[in-house]
Formats: sequence, C-alpha cells, structure tokens
Amino acid sequence: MSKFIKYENLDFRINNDIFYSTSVQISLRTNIEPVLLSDGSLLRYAPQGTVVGNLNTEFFLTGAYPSYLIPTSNSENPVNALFAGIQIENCYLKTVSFKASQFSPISLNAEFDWFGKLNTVDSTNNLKQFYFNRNQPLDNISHSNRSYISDLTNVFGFSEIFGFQYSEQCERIPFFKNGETVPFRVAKSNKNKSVSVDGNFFKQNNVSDVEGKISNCDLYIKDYNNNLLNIFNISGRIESRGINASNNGILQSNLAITQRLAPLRNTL
Amino acid sequence: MSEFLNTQFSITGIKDFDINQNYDQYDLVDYEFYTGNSVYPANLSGLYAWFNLDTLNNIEFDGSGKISLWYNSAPGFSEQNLVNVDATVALDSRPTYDSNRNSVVCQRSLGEIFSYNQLYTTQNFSGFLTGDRCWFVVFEYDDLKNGLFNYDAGSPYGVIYPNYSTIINTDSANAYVTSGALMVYGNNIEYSWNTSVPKEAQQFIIDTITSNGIVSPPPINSSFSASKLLKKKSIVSIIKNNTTNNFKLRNNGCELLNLTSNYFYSGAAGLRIGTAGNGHVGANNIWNYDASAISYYEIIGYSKTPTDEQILQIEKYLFEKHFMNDDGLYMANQDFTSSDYSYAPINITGSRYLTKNIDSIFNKTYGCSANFATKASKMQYGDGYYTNVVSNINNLTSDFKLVYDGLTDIQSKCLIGFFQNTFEYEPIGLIDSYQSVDIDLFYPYKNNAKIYFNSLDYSSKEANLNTITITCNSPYDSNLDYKGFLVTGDNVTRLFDQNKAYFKDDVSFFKTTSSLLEDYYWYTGTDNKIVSIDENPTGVNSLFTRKFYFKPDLNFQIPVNPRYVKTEYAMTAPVYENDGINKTVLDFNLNFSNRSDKEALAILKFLDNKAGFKIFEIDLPDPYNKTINVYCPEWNHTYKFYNNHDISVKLLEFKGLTSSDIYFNTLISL
Repeated sequence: MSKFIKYENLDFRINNDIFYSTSVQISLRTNIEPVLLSDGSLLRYAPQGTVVGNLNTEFFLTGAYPSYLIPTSNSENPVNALFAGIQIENCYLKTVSFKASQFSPISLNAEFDWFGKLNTVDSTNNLKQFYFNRNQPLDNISHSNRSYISDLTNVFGFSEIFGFQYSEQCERIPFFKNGETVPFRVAKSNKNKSVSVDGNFFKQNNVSDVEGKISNCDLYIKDYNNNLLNIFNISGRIESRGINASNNGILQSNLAITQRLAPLRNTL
Repeated sequence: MSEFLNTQFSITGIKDFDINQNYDQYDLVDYEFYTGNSVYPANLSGLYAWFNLDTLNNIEFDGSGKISLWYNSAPGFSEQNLVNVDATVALDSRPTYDSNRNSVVCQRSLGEIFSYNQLYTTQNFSGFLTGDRCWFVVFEYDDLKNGLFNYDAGSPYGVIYPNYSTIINTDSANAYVTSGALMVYGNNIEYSWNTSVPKEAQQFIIDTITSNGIVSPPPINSSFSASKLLKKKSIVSIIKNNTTNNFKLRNNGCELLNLTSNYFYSGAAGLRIGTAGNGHVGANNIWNYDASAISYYEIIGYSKTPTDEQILQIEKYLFEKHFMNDDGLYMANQDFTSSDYSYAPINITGSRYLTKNIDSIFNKTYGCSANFATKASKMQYGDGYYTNVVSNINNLTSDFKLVYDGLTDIQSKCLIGFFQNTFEYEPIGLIDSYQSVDIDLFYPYKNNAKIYFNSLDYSSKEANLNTITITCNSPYDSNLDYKGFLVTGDNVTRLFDQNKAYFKDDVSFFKTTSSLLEDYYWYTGTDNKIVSIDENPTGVNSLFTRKFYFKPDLNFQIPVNPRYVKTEYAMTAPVYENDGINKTVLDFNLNFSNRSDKEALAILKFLDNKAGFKIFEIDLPDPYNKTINVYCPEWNHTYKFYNNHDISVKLLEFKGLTSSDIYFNTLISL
C-alpha cells in the first residue's frame, strides 16, 4: 500500500524559531553543459556552476519580526532551516514579500537560495508531535484588520486604501574558493524595496515628475488584536500610477513605489 | 608609517605597529623593528667576540669542505676563534656552510651516528671573561633531531629521550649544560614531547639540569614560558650584569626575562655552538645528545652591560642585516590587541596575527588563468622547413592571472596595499632580483614557483563587492630542467609501475635504457586496468602514448593556407607559380573546453613537458584524419569552475621529421 505523509501543521523552523508556515517548498537545480568532442562523441556533462537550491515558504507572523529576515540588511550570514526532517544549514535570504488586503490575514513569503548538503532523516519514520502546542490562536497572526500603510510624505492622494503589497529583495551572488563548490561568501547585491498600493481615485494632478515623486511610507503590520508586529519602511520614488474602471466594478487606482538601497563604501 | 612609504602607496589608512594598539582584521600594519639608528658593532666599546659571515674569508674549510675555523672579527681578538680540533675522518663533527642562507649549519650527520657538529673556543678564550657581558646571536633553529621521550627503541638503542638544542653554551668547561647556556627544547616533526608548545615548536630553556625539561621545562616567568620558537630566524640578546646579578633575555626585540638571578653567572669560560654535554647520553648515546639542526648567521659579544638604547642599536644592526624584507607591510588576519612586543610580526605570537602570507587570508576564486608562450626563435630553411632555436634556459614565459572575487571594500584595500608592498621588497643578494612573492598558484600548477607580481586590475560591482585580478609571472622556472616544470606533483611525476591500475589520462614517466624511449607517457586505455607487458608504454600493443591524443571541441577550425608565389604585373593579370615543396604548413588553434581536472592535468602536463618548442605528433580530427608533427608555442588555461577547465592551444605544423619529404627540387640550368 502506498504510504503518504499528511501534514496538518508544518513544523518549519528558521534558526530554531518556529514559524506558522502554511507551505514550504525546497528544490534544487544543477548547472551543467554537455561537452561534445571533435569526433561527435559526448565526453561529459561539465558543471558550469554549483548546485543551487531554492527554499520558498509562506508563513504568518506571530511575533516580533526576526532580524535575519531582512533581505536588505548588511548581514550576509546564512540561516538554518529545518523542515520535514530536512535541515539546510546555509540558506541565504533573497526575498520577503507580503500582501495586505481587506479582511485577510497577511501571509508573508520568504525565498532563500541554499548551497551545500541537506541533512536529512527519514521523515516517514519516527514521526513525532511538536514539542509543544504550536498552533497559534487565529487572532495572534498577522492580519490586515489593523495593519495599515502610512503615507508620510502625503503623496498618495487616496482617500481610501484597499490594500498594499510589499516586497524587499536582493540578489545573492555566491563566490567560491578554487576547488570548492560551497561558497565562502554569498554577497548581497542590488538591494531594493517596492510597495504597490491600491486605493480609490487619487486626488493628485502633479503626477508627471520625471524623477518620480519622493515618497516615504511606513507599513505597520499588526495582528488581529492590534498588537504591532513590525514596521516596514520604504523611502523611494513613485515609479508608476494607474487608474482602472470596468463595468459593474469600482474605480480603482494604484501606484508603485520603488527604493534602491545604496549602502556606502566603508574601508575605514 | 614613514613619509616616504606613505607616498609609495595608492591607499591610505596604513597603521604603524605599536604595542597597546587595537587592530582589525585586514588592517595593513607597517612594521619597523626600531625607529632609531643601528650601530656598527665595532663602534661600541667592549667588543670581544664577533663571528660573522660578511666574507667567506671569515671561515676556513677542511679537506672535506667542512668548517674547521670561524675567525673572530672583533678588533684585537683575532686569535680567539671558534674551531673544532676533534674531528676525524670517521667522526667528522665539523659544521657545514650553507651558501644559500650564508650560515654555519650545525647538525647531526646521518652517516656518522655519534657525530654532531660543533665549534668551540680553545684555551686562548678560556677564562677570558668573568665580568659583565652580553651576547647577540642570530640563529635559525631548523629541526630537533631524533630522540623520543620515554620511548623504548629496543635493543641496542634502549630508552630514547628528547633532545635539547643548544644555541650557545658559554661554560664549555662544564660537562653539563647547567650554567651559561641558552637552549631550545620542544617537539620535532615526528613526535611531541613538550606539552607547552605545539608540534614542531620549541621553547627556550636556560641553564637546565639534566632532569629538567623532559615534558615541560620549568617556568621562569609567564613571558618567558609563553615564548615559542618555530623554524624561524631569531635574534637573541643575552645581557648579564655580574655586579647586580641582573639578567636579561630578549628575543627579536621582545624582552622575555629581566630579573636578578644566577643565570649565566658562574661561567663564561668560552663559547660553544652547535651542541653541549647532555645528561641523557648515558641512557642512549646514539640518539640522546644536546644537538640539533641549527644555523648561525652572526654572533656578537661585548664585555659590558650595554644601555637599553645600545641594545636596540645592535639588534637593529642585526635585523637590517639578516631580516631582509621582514619589515614593511603586514596584514592582520584577525582582530587583536597588541599588548607587548611579542605581537611584533617577527615574533611567534605576532606572526599569528600579522602575516605576509596572502594565501592565508584571501581566496583565489574561479576564473584564474595561465598563459604560456615560448621565446624560441624560428629559423627558416625554406621549403617549409624550419627549426626552433631556444636561446636561453627560461624559454617559456608563463603569466598567471589570479582572481580574487567577492572582496569586501576593506579586503580590497588590504589586497591592493599588499600588492603594492611587494614592489618595495629588497634583493636578498647583490645580483638578485628583489624578493619574490610567497604565494601559491592554482590547480594544477606548483606552489613553490618564484612569483613576481606585475599588475593589478581592480573592478567594483557595487559597494562592498569587488574583484581584483593580479597578473604575475614565474620567470625563473626553466623547462629544460624537470624541476622547472610548472605542472608537478605525484600524479604527473610518478614512474611507470607495472603493478598499478591505470585510469584514462594517467601520466607516468617510463624509465628505460633508451634515451629515445624514456619519457612521459599518457594512458589511453580503459579505467582501472593493470596493463600487461605488451601494453606498457613501449609494448607492442601499448595503451600509452606520447602523441597529443586529446580530442578538441566539436566546433573547431583548421585553415589551410598553401604557400605560393604571386607575381603582379602592372598591365596584365598576375602570374601564380609554385613555391617549392611543403606548401602547406598548418597553423591552427584547438580548444578543449569544459574538461575535467584529470584531463586538464594530462593536457597541461603534456604541453608543459614539450616546453613550447619540442615536436610531437597529433592525429588531426576528421575530415583531415592524418597524423602530423606539430609543436605548441602558445597555450592558455582557465580554471573555470570545480572540475571544469578551458584550454586552448596554438599548434604549428613541423615539416622535416619524415624523411620521405626531404628531397631537393632545384633545377640548375647553365
């Protein structure tokens, strides 16, 4: 008989912190190229780069936002992820994003690159319950009910905001010592943040600033009971606006803000 | 940092070495032994012993080339020399001279079991000095010879104890080293006895008695006990005030002892270097003795207690003379606080934090490449015939590009500073180039090549993300000498073994009485095969080859450009005429991309062995499908990724080896 493992609750941990995760995906890809010789024969499949893994998870925030989940921070250190009997020691955060829309819990998405080995145990055996009751009350999770975005520079023009999406990301560039396939450094590059906001008609007529209008926003993420979980900030430029209307629909406009983070050099 | 040095660098923020100073990892630290001036030894009063190697006339050799006498250069004491009058043919205990290091080498001779090398003063010197005195000795501890603590080596050896290595013994009248002796004691490469020091390290001991120091020498004070010696050149200064009984011991400028004690009090009857009496000899007179491998560069003695400034001046004289290029810029390999002079980079403690070893703190990354080109001159004989004339022993130029990717800003600054500092190195000898850079190359090239940096290319991707590529070369490796090959190591230098299983692309050197057949061979058979006699390199069904058998990439080009004579006329069409024989001499490039470590090693060893001018055979791929003779004047190699190499070679066809091609086609008409 086939054997299936059903998860009712995921025991997903980062740096041994439990996350109220709804899904976790792990994948990996090789980077190989066939080598053909002058007589037409196939010599080998040559590695062009290391095996890069991807870890993607959706989770609800149930407490203070951890510092290791900030893609644009100066820290390049990896985190340790544990899921379904699989431990990955070198996970490098690339992206964190979430969407807040009315009446919905806020689910955060985090994406990592990982390198090296998986430490696995047979997850079909020795299954055990969580060490403690990790199921959170539903009013403890990040929720749109009390979360909001604050337009500090007062440039949105909306009288009502329907929702917003936030994304913070960077590129991770691995560097390898000769003869090795696990990087000694996975640098952060091209750090940026973006937020898109959906609202009603925007009462702004000066919208064609060629350098983009300066915008500074704070995003307050709270649980259902109004407990503040984290404040995300974006200080960038409005790069796009739009208005759309359709039959039997409401008029809706949106704008997108982008921020390129530019850390200064430091050789002192 | 000096104003002059400051102007030589393109970066800023170089720190001076100082005690009580915090340093961060990747700091560039300028080290100077002592900022004052040195003093010429003879310009200080009280000089009574000065053994130096400023000229070879300062030593005399016996008939077997060993040192029988080391002249005392102290003015007025020319008769009080270091000699060895006990040496016999069977028991030659005289030291040797190392011309590379310009040092007197005292070591145990393996061929003379009971013999260790030493020099000592005779009666002329004995009893000469009883008052205040000081010694400055520049030595290099090479190795602690033999001896195993409490190890029963069996009959006839018995129990073997660890040995002391005597630096100087000024009480040669005493059979045991109980006074007036400075020694080292510790562990050698084979065994560790002394728990206080790491493997291969030593620590100082003074005036020991026979039972001391077997496992851990008795501590005198924390600074002294913490001092460790590795195989490194050292200046030790021994200052004895016989009036106050004050005794000072300094090592490379670091004061290890400054106390009132009887050390060096009772005896200054003479001077003995290389060895002294040993209390363990009774247990085993073959292995246990106070002798080791130790080299002496210079010994200076004064009959006075010099001032602190005079001590520094003498030490600086010795430092400038014997520690060439040990000053200048160092890199901090970790955060640390310099709390005393033991943190100076020439001391063991300091050498753990400050380094000139670029490989210990920077990673070479994928993309490193090497370019080779011959300087051989092609001499044309006409009709497509030519020969390669090698005009010097270093005919093959080898340039390397070392890639350091993923550097932070601070790392980049450190590496740029280190690079620029290599151009400040001084020549070790009068006719030498300035000192080369101590750096490893990359796979599969050898790690002991003499490398000179040429240029540095810095590029920035963004803040804190930089790439530095250093171009360097190895100008003193001659491919006419097998030791000059750049592709070395056991995998490509081992002899053919009939009993060994071979794998494709294995390289083996086949020794035979025929000089025509003795050469490197490459295995082309199936993996893990023990070849038969017929299949060995010169067998009738050999699975080995000396051909360039490697198959190039699928996309290759071999152009054919025949030679002809085209005569242009002003008013008519040109005339085409034959141009002798061998009209087509192929000139082509082949690429070998994405090759494994093993195949790349085999290809590069093949090309390295051919040295840029030697002729070899190659089977041209279809549609040519012909075996021709070629040589490879240029090739380059890129270490692209793990187990992935790109190699491109330029091949020129060589006519003349096949006798059927050689004939005259010259018509002489009268």
